[in-house]
Order: sequence, then structure tokens, then C-alpha cells
Amino acid sequence: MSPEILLMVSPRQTYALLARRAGRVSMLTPLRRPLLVSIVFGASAAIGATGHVTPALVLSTTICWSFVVVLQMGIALAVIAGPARRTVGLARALDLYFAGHAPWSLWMLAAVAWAPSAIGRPLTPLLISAAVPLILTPRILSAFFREVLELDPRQAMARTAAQQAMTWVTFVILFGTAIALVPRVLEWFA
Amino acid sequence: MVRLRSVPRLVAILAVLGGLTLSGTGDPLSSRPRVMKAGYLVLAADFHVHSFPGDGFLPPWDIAIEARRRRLDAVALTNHNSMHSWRLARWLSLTDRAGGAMLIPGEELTAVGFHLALVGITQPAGWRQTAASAAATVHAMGGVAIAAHPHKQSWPSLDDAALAVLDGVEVAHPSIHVWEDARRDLMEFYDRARRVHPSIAAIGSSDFHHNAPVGLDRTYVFARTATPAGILDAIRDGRTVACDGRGETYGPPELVEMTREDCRRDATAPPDGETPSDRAGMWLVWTGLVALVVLGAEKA
Repeated sequence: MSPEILLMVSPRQTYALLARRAGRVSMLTPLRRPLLVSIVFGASAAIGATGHVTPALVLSTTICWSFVVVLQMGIALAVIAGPARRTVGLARALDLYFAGHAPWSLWMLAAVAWAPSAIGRPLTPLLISAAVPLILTPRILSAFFREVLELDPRQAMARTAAQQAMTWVTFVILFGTAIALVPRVLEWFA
Repeated sequence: MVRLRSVPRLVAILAVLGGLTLSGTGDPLSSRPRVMKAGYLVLAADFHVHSFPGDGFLPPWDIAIEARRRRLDAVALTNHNSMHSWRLARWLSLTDRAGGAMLIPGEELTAVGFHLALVGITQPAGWRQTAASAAATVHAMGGVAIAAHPHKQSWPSLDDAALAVLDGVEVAHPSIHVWEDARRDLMEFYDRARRVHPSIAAIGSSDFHHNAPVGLDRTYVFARTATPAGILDAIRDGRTVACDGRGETYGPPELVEMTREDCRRDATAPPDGETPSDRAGMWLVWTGLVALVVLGAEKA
């Protein structure tokens, strides 16, 4: 089994093994996993919205949605940069950090395969199934901080909380702006 | 030499590339035939579409192509209280993509108590105003204001004063396929709107974000010219028919009679130019990506 799958099952043991592995880290190493995540985002957007893919469409959606991966990298750098330099190095740390994205990548691909529609399948099962990556991600992150960045349990928990807070605050700001959250909130109180 | 453990990843990458190639081999979309009925050009349009950047998945230039595949002639970009998507497309000179549907600037005015699809505007209208005053703002810009998914909770804000100045009402919207109450609400609101404003346009819109196909619910517009101005004129004059995703039509009986078959066909026919290899290619890409995620970037 691949590290991506093993991380979902036993994150601490898997990260411990990966952190001990002395591998050659090239300039491209920290980009390979984020690149795959970007392509998953782009292809999922294309499949979900149109039910088909063409090279031009997937390239366009991948470029558009890669800003999400760039934001994820920014958040990652904010929480891992210091300890990473003291342990496995920033490039390897970033690479291993993105190995923990597999639950969300697989959920996105499952979501577009389910293809909910007003005249087809309902959305509710998808929303319920999002609980799986929502639960797995903090567990994987915590293991990453402990085993790869060698932080003690308290520091690992604090960094996991900080990463999750930054991620969800960013999400709420972006999504809230996109859906015009302010008038909707005011409507609840009206 | 390719190492044995790399073979599954190589196969997965080839599946993605092969799927993309397979999907890209279809004939390019031909231009839509112009249909004349009762002396008017009959154009199919979707006046409520969300796009990137915003809460829609596709950028405007891809929406134009997808809309054309779904037999639409025009699409209004209507993000919530924003026109960034239209401005991005204009900045990139991609508002008029060859082979794509016509893009019309707009926004979904998301105010406290009601939503309006504002079409043909030059800048966003402020959301801290009444529906009637928003409609007046839009008219001053040369655009039209359409009551978006007017479910019961929005009725207090969409009073008779608003109905008298609104140009259209969404009577076909994806929510009517999901909730029977929504269908009743929209029909009841349309009936009331016609009593106050007899020529108000019947509008069908997909409210496309990510999954419902663009044009699932659509509007047939009886226009004098195939231009944004011609389309907006037709809405102002009420020369429209709303068509829902199940092939039902709503609007003036004489226009409904002329578009009933078009609506049934558009509700059931696959996208233009779609071939079995498109579907196969899509699933090949999907399988390849699942495999790449599952196989990971390095050995365990």
C-alpha cells in the first residue's frame, strides 16, 4: 500500500517511517504532490460541471483552481517552516505534508462521480460523506507534526489547531465573499 | 529503464493522458442554427449562471463553450453581488470566445430578503436597497431585473410595487425539481406577478454553480436581433418562454405553443457533439486520477 493510503489508517507509524527515509530531495520534490492535488481540483471541477473533459477545459480549470493549492502551501509554510528546517528540511516536509491530502482528493473525485443534480442524485450523501476527510485530516496532521517535525504532543496539537483554524477561516472568508454571506446573515436576524 | 514499482503510476498517467486525448477528438462545435418563428429569432438563454471567480466551478470562457454544447445561445454571468468574473473575462479578452455562447454581464443581487438576477448591467447594484429601487438602478444602466427563485420567504420583499417594475420572474428553476413546495411557490408567484404586470417575462434559469448542467432550466427568447440588446428588449416586452429540465414550458400561450417541442428536445437530448468516446475518456481520466492518488508519490 502507498503512504497516502497508510496515512489514513495509521498516520503516526507511516509518518515515522517516511521521516526516517533518507531520500534525495530535488527542487521538484515539494511540488509533485501539490501538482497532483491541483490537477485533481481542476479535473473534478471540469467533470462535475460539464460531465466531460477536454485538455483545454482541464488545463483552464486546473489553472483557475490552483489558487486553492497555493493558499494551502502558504498555510503549510506558516505552520511547518521553523521545525521543518531543524528536522527533515522544508522541501521534504512540504512533500510529506501534502501526502495527507489524499482523503480530500479522493472525496472530491468521489463527489464528481456521484454527480448530484436537481433531476438526479441528491446532494445529502455527499455532505455526510465529507465527515470522513474532515475527521481524518486533523489526525493525519497531528501525526505529521509529531513524527516528521518531532514536536511534542502539546505543540503538535497546537499546530494542528492553528493549521485547521487558518484553513477554515480562509475558506469562510473566500466562500462567504463568493456567496454574499453578509446579507444572508442579516436576513436571519431580520 | 522503468523500475517495476513505477509501472502502475505510469499506467495511471497514461490513463489520464489517454482519457484527455479520447475526449478531445470530437468534431468542433458548429454554430447554432438560427431559428425564426413569428418573425422573431428564437434564442435559448440562461440568465442565472455562477462562474469562477465566485461560487461557480467554471470560468466564463469555459461556460461559453459548455453553454453552446447544451444548445444555448446566450448566458448571463450572475455572481452574488459581484461582476469580477465578467471583468476577468474582459481583461483576458475572453468574453467572446469563438464557438461559444454569447456572454452577458450581470450579477445576482443578493439582498436581505430577496434575490434578483440583474442582466445587462455595467456595474453591481448596491444590495442595501429595495427590489423596486434596485430595478430602477438596473434600468438606468440599460439592464433588466428578474426575480430569482422567488420562494415564499422572499414574497414580503417582492411586493406589488416591485412586481410593477421587475422585468421577469424565474418560474423554472432547479429547486422545482427537488421540492414540490418550490414548484408551487414559483407558479403562484408568477401568477401574481402577471396580475400586477401582465407582460412580465417568464424566465427559466439553471442557477448553475457546479453540478446542475448549465441550461437545465432555460428561457426561449423571441428577439429581433441576436445581440445582448435584442435579448434584453425581448425580456422587457415579455417575449419569452421558460422551459424546465423536465420539458415543461411556461409563458404566453402563443409563444409556449411555438417552443414546446424545443423544450422537450432540449430537456432530453445529450449535449451537442457528445460521443461515447467523450464519456469513456472522462472515466479514463477519473480512474487514472484515483489511481494516482491511491498509489501515492513514493513507495510505502
